Amino acid sequence: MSLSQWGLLTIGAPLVTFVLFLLGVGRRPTLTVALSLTTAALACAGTWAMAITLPEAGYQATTPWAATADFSIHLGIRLTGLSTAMGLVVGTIHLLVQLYSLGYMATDPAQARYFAVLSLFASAMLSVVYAADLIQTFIAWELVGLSSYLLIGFWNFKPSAAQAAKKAFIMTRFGDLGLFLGLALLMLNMPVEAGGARNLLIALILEAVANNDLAGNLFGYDQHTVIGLLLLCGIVGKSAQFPLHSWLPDAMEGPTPVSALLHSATMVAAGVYLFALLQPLFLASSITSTVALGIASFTAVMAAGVAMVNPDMKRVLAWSSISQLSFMLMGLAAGSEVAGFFHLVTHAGFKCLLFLSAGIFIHLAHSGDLTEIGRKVGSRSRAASLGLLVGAASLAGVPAMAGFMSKEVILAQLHQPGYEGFYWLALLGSAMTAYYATRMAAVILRSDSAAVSHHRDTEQTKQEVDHDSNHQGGLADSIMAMTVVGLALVTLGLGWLGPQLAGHLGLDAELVAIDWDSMGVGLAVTALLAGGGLAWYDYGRTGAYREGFLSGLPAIEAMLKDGWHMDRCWRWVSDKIIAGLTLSALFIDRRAIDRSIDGVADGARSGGVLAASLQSGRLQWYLSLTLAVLAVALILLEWK
Amino acid sequence: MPELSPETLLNAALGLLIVMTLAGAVLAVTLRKVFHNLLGFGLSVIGGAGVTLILGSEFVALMQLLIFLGGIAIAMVFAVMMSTPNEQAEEPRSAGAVIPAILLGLGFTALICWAMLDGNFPQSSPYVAEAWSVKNIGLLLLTDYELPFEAISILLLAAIIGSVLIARRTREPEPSEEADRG
Amino acid sequence: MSGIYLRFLPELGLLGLALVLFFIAVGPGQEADEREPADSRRKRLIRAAIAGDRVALVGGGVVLILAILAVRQAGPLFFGAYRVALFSQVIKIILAAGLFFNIWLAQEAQSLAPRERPELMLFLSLSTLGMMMLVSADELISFYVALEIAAYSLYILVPLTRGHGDHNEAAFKYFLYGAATSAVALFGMSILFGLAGSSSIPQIATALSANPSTLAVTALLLTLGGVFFKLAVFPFHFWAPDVYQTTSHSVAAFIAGTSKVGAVAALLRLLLMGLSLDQLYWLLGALALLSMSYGNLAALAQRDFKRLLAYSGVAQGGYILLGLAALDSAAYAAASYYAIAYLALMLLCFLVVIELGRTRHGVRADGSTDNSLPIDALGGLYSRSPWLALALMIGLLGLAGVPPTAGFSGKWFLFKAILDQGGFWWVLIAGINNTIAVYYYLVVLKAAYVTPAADGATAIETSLWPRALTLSVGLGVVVLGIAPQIIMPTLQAAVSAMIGS
Repeated sequence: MSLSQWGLLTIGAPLVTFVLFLLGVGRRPTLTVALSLTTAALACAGTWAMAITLPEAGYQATTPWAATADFSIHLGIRLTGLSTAMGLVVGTIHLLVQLYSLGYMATDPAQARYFAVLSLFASAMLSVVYAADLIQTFIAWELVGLSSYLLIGFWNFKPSAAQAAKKAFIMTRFGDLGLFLGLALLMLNMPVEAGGARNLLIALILEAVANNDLAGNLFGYDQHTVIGLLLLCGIVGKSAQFPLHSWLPDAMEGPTPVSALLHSATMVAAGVYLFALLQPLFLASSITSTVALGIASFTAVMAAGVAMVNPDMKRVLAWSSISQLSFMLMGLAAGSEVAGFFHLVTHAGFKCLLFLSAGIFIHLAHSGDLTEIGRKVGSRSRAASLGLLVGAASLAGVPAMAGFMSKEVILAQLHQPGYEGFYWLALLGSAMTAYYATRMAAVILRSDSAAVSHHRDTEQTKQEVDHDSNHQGGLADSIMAMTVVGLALVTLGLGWLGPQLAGHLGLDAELVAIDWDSMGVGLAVTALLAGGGLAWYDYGRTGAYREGFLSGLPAIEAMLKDGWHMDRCWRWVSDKIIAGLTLSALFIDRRAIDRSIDGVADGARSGGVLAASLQSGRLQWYLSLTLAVLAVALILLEWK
Repeated sequence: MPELSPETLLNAALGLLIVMTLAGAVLAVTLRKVFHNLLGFGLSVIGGAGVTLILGSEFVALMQLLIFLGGIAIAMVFAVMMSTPNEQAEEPRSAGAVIPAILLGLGFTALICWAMLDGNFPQSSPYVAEAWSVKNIGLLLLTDYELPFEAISILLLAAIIGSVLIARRTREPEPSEEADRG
Repeated sequence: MSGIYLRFLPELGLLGLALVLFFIAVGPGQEADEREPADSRRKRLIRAAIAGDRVALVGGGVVLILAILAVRQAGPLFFGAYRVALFSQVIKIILAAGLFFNIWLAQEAQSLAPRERPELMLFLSLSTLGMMMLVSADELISFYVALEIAAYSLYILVPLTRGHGDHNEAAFKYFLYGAATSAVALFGMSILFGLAGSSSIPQIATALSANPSTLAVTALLLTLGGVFFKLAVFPFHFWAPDVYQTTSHSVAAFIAGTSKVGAVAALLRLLLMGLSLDQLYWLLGALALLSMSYGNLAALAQRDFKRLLAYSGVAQGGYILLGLAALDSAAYAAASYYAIAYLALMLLCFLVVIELGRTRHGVRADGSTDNSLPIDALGGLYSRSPWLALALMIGLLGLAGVPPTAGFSGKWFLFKAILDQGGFWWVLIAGINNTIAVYYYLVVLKAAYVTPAADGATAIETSLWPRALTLSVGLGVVVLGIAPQIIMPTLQAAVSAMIGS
């Protein structure tokens, strides 16, 4: 098979599952699941085939899709070291998660819908990865968001899940708005190709950046800066960076395998991937790259802080994902071609492992609360404990583990003149990471040694547990356990694949080599020991108080537990600004605003009630309003 | 006493007719009894016809009197006399609703007038007095304005069928409403 | 000589169809006969209604074919009062297609009494005729009369709902509101006539361009107001939610889709006079932004699906208006494209409304049929009928601008054309609006796919007709989204030709 056929198979096969589901196959769950697994395996095979047979010079196959006189859009695949490596990660983890879901979702009545949407996600995500044209990327990017919406809200009988799904979709859409505008501006400023049309082929964009064809002014700033910042909005939204991050912890309302696949390993990494793809464009403007670095380093510390105190296992992992994504962005924004991406690969492995272990823990403990899991399950589940240990060690950055190897490359990149501030922030973030990783492992695995402390059962996990409690069966459990053990073994080796990855990207293996004698490694290990040691003192050692040191600072602890009050800020924005806008636009109606309950979406709704009530009047009222608006228009006209 | 030129007389008459038109319109809108409103409407129509006459278009003036006064206004009078009981208690209008409405209406008119003062209308329209002769109008209706002339008949047809249709609904109810839902 | 008839072919076809339908409507079977048993009379009426439905369907198809045949015609008619050009002919095809699909949707419409179904078909045809004439009218009085033909037919259709509730407030409001805006438009036209000394649109354009003034823009704005009413953009939209909610589904579908395409075409017809008036640019842009913001905010609060579609229509009208405000041929082409996409998406949404309407028989307190459709009634649609759920999904995702539907490519063309004119902030506001809008489309989709069906709700048996319609229109939306080049160059050529002439 040729590369383009492989590409078509990889992207198309999972899509077939989804389309067949829509056309009614969904009424037969077993068939849908079988179909879904088959196409997942095919897609995975395709990603491997493309990665292995990739020619030295890369490969591109496109077909013109929509064209008008002044621009054209292409559909196709663009295979480079970067895209095939990313595709490999997506395809493999997707297959693993589908296998794991066989056990996890075995008794769910809506199984067919779950697998079908998972397939839609895979197809869209692979399309993001392999796209040759940024418009194709954008379209697939939106479809990825849509499938994420459908999967977060999968247990739609939970109001919180439906709310979280909407919040995620709308928040990322705001980021995507920037992306859309950025793409449109980029399109308008691309050099004209032969035939008089412009297009957004990635290869041509990179060429244009290299030739400095995009130089010029836009709104008084350098074009690279404006376009780069707009594109960055989309990345910030998708990769859950400050200030558009608060949807990701809420997204944990979805089933755990979904959290593993979408909300840690692949979908949220799409933002980082896009940054890696267009890195020269972002680096061409020092303002853009500095803004990206600033956002990322701030987010890294901020999110790690929340992960230090959150009581819920999945939410700790979610905040940790936000923080780790920031590390990747830092590496890329600091100019390294491989550092951030290497971390993306290792993170995909160990974070997915942690989530899959969490799935088993939560399933056994019937709760997502860390203390509760420790009390009820502890180290009794061998597979899950192994997964947790390997994953947490990797996350914390224990030398020679996957996470350490890739994070060290990022830190080395930052350890340069000009980046001092960011470097120290990254080190602080590392120490905090070590703290929450150790805390998570210690609370769960060392619980037998300590007194049982009070526990908080979060509403969310209670309901997930309801789902799980009717779930029994040896086969399902062993499928899940085997997946976890397999992934743990892979993760152990992942850290040593840096040179191979660099080679695949066409870069020098030196770039990922670690200088073990350097001060950088010493500092990193110090951060690990400081964070991990503190957590061990708080939670791990025999006779520990099992209270974080932060409980001595209640104000800070409360703020962290509330996620830095970010949701409250957003609610304020939606309440005051959106409702206020409506109010001032529709001053005619003086009825009090129906205060919104939660989130951006509801704020907008309360504004809507007001706009609708304008309708209740009589005809004369309508006519005078029309006349009044016309009069205002006339005044404006004559006044000019 | 200075002699009045014909021009001045004509202008005075024009002014009087305009006042009449406006007064009729105001009566038509403000009075509370439908019958009185119709009288105001008639007054306004007569004024309008007079204005057209002074501007030199006898035929249009005649048609306006014939159609609007002789046709429409009379038909409305019949309709009012046959349908509603004449002495219906009227609710007083609230000042809170009326004053803003008056202000809005006056303001809008003022804005349009202001814009009109600013506009430069061509000094003489190509349609001078003899252009408005019956013969010319007839020719125009069969040449330049043939399409609207024909299209209006479609419009009238639609309006007639429509009014019959709506009138029928109120007179004969649907046969056995529930049974034919299948 | 025959060439001249060819130019008027689609209109003649529609007129013929209207005549046939007129005879069916007043035909011998329609009068009441005291001696006849009610049962046999009812059967007779139903037979006549079905005959009318089928005749209209065939006739609609014929008109569509005629419109396609006449696409290459060009030239003046009726002493210059009528102009046939590529632009008008393309729009006529779209209008004919809209009418055809509307008639298809209205087959055996359950929300109308059988006795009034021939009239429904008759007035749908007449209204479309009015819109076709609107697109070609090259003279103000013809323009106005065409506008009124299109509007009057709808005034009559709106109150025609099943049952004896003749007291239809929404219809009354619609009529009075329409009369008032039409008076304002007429006033604007009289000023235009005064300024140009002619009622010919090209001559007015020449006169205004030679001598631009505030008064010209004022008059143009008032004239456009008459069309804004039909497009239902803020602040001319007040009738829309009430009318959508209370009138029969078939009529609402026509008002929401085909009638709006007619309005967009009429606006384009006026703007394509080739005026370059800066002030107009700002006014239209401001109205567009107000319209989309207001429509979206109001739609957020709706509990009734048809009302929601009405407000979403106000917002969508805003997007189209934004394209028109750019006063640029690429943007005009994009706006036309978007209007076509909008028509197709509305057909899909109303297909669901109509099919669901067959299973609901609400009756209001005054005895008239309850034609509203709460969003909750969409619950469990996927389990009740996957076909309808699919139609709804394509329709709503298209309205939300999600790829790969025509809604996305339409927005892309539109926003890109406006950006090209330097309208960055406009596009930004439009984009934010689009993001807000996604919320309420998702609410409806969630009800259809996720919420379980209400107790006692049974599977909806969709016959072959709606399935075929879903497939053809749904496929059309996706194909148009994937391959906009099928029609985009034609639209661009048509618009450029209008500006050039």
